[in-house]
Amino acid sequence: MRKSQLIPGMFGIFILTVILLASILAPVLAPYEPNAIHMAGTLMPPCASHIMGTDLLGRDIFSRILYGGRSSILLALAATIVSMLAGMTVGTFAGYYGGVFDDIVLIFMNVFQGLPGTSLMIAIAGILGPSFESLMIALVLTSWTGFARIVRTETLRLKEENFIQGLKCLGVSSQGIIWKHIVPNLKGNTMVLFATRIGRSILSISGLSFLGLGIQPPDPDWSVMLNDARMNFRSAPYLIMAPGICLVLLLLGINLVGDMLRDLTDNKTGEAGGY
Amino acid sequence: MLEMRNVCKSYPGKKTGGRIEVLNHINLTLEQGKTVGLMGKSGSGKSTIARILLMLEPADSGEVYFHGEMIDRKNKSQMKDFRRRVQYISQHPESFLDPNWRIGRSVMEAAKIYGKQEKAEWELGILLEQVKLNRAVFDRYPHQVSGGEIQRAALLRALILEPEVVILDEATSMLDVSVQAQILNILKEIQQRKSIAYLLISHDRGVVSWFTDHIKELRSGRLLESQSGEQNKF
Amino acid sequence: MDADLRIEDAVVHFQVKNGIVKAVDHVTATFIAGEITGLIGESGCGKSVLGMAILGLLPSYAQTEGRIWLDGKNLLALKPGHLRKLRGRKIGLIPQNPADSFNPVRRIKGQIMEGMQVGKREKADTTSVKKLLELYGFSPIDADRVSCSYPFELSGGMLQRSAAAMGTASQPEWILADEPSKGLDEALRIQLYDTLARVKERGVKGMMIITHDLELASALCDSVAVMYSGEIVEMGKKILASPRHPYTKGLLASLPQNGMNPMKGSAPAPGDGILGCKFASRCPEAETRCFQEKPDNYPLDDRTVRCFQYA
Repeated sequence: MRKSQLIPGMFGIFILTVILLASILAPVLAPYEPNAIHMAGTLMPPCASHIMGTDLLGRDIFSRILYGGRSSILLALAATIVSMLAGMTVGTFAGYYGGVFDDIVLIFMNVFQGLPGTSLMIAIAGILGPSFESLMIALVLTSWTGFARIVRTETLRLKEENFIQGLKCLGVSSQGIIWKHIVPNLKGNTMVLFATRIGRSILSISGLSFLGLGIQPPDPDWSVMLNDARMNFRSAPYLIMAPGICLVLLLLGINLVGDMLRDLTDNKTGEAGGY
Repeated sequence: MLEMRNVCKSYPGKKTGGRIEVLNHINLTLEQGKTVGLMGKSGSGKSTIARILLMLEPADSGEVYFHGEMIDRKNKSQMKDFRRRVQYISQHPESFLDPNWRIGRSVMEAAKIYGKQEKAEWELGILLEQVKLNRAVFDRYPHQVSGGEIQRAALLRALILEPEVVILDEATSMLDVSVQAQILNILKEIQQRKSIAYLLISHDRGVVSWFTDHIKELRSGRLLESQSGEQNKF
Repeated sequence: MDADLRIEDAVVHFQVKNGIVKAVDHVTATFIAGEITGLIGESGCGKSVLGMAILGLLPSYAQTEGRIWLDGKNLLALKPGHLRKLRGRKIGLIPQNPADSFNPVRRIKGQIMEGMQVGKREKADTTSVKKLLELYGFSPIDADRVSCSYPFELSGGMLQRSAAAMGTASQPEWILADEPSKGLDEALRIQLYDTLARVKERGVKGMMIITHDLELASALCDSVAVMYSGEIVEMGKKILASPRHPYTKGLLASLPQNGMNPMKGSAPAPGDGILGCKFASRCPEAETRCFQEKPDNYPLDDRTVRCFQYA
């Protein structure tokens, strides 16, 4: 693995670190309250007191940008973790034990994967009303199958591996085999999926928020800011550029790190590549 | 000691759609301190016999008996005891131990399950010498060591449990000639010391002739006595 | 002399984390034209790496020193363009795993024809492909069927013969067969012997067989080179019938039909730097000198032996 191959991934890590630090330290770094309305100074272009200008309600854009990642990132993280845990549990047991349970799980997986993700999320958000909880439910329902399927396939493959057969002969219990040997060997694949899923979740959250079905204003979320900017961005492009660029950077960072993870976990051969 | 009585096993045929009878009323007995060699063409069903004896796969009909008692898969306590006393070494050293675990941890895993951990620690030095393995191997991962070392580690793992039967499924086929000689000699020494019964599955007539007391050949689903003949010269 | 393949002080090494691994450690040998030479050794001895070095198929991170002479040219110093011209015409390969050597989505005929086109020595058409397959033991009807088949439709034995046909399709002067008997059962190994013997009829000047299969080597090869830990320890004629080097003796003694006598210890790890003879720690005939000085390849009758006993 040449060092130069790691550069994109390192760049991704750098971006994500900056964004994370900014989000965590927002209360310290923000010059103004993100929701402080100031009707006297609306739609101000970038200037000394407001380095990114102000929006339609006179709120400081820079401060809103700093706070803007929080909701999406938290939500995406939480939802993906829950999806991963649910999907992995279901997938491992279905793959290992097989039989009727597996058949039932497969039916569920096929049904859920067949549903169009974004439409389903819009439907759920519409029915349950836009809120953190409904978004969580929507995200988990559309993401769990990805994990379940990958984990199930890997489990099926691992089950037949030589060392698992050997462990059975040693008398290791099924639970022992699953938790100590199969799950740890799933790390590689699931980590990569985890990274990509977070990216997708953020996109979905942004999409829904932009439509007004996700995170609600006045929450200073980037996608909410994008929605807010719709009316005036032609005369005040900074309204859309700032949150837009941040979203792009966030997704880019996640993708680069995901790629790097995939490259790293793929590499099992030694340096003198098995001559 | 470990017997297979009247076992039949068939698989769905790939081409014809009918069933291929792999094992046709097979009777096989393994006795204490003795080695039975099992030969046959690739795919003839030798590994199936091993898997059925190890209770990894159910036979269509017929039973497996251990010390005269029929072994029932559903009887958990009987199975746990059975598993300790009947061990298995496979053909593929590179995939026989968990690739994510250090070798030492894999070797001691079984001991933990049967509560033999302390005893194992105590006897480890002796066992390491018997299998001629260097303790340094314990800190490495499977992909970092040679096939011969893995087979020795696998053997060590099995011996810790004090088995009565060890099934060797082409255990040395993937090893170099000189390493094969080392491992087979170690197996013979251990057998003499501990009176373990071996089932030696191999396609190499030379190996089988050197090691075994009886040779059986699996042909067309039936088990026949075989002569310890000369290896095929060119 | 020029027709021979001469290896002069060849070294192939790889850079790893803690230093350098010498897979081929100063090998000097001559493969005589007109002979079948076996390159024998166990895992990690460097025989496959040497074979790849001759063919110019080493990975990019391998570093080489020394010279490999063929027809007046040093193969190790040739530019990739020149090497490509040599491959197929001067040197061909019968690769290790016949099943993996074929493109699974092309028929056999096309793949063999491609080899013939490289050779430019005969017309590459269906008839010549069939004739080539017949040379390797297929009846005319089978040759017809095989050439129109895809690799997955053929049995192991048929693939093996087809791979030999493909490797020699371009009528190279030299052929390298890489572990041809790996993973083959007895029946196929006998067939392999027959196949390789036929290669000579294809106008091949010389053949090198890399193998760990001692019986195949003793049956088929005119000369044999035994490798251990990157070095040639014994090379010449009648090596396997009457071995002189302690390693060769030990190796033959560990064969099942010779009593399965084990050698003590194990081969040095690739990165180990060893003073003196690499086999000394396992050698039943070792003396103090063996641990301190490195033996050269000493000539003895019709062979060379890397052991102080023959100095």
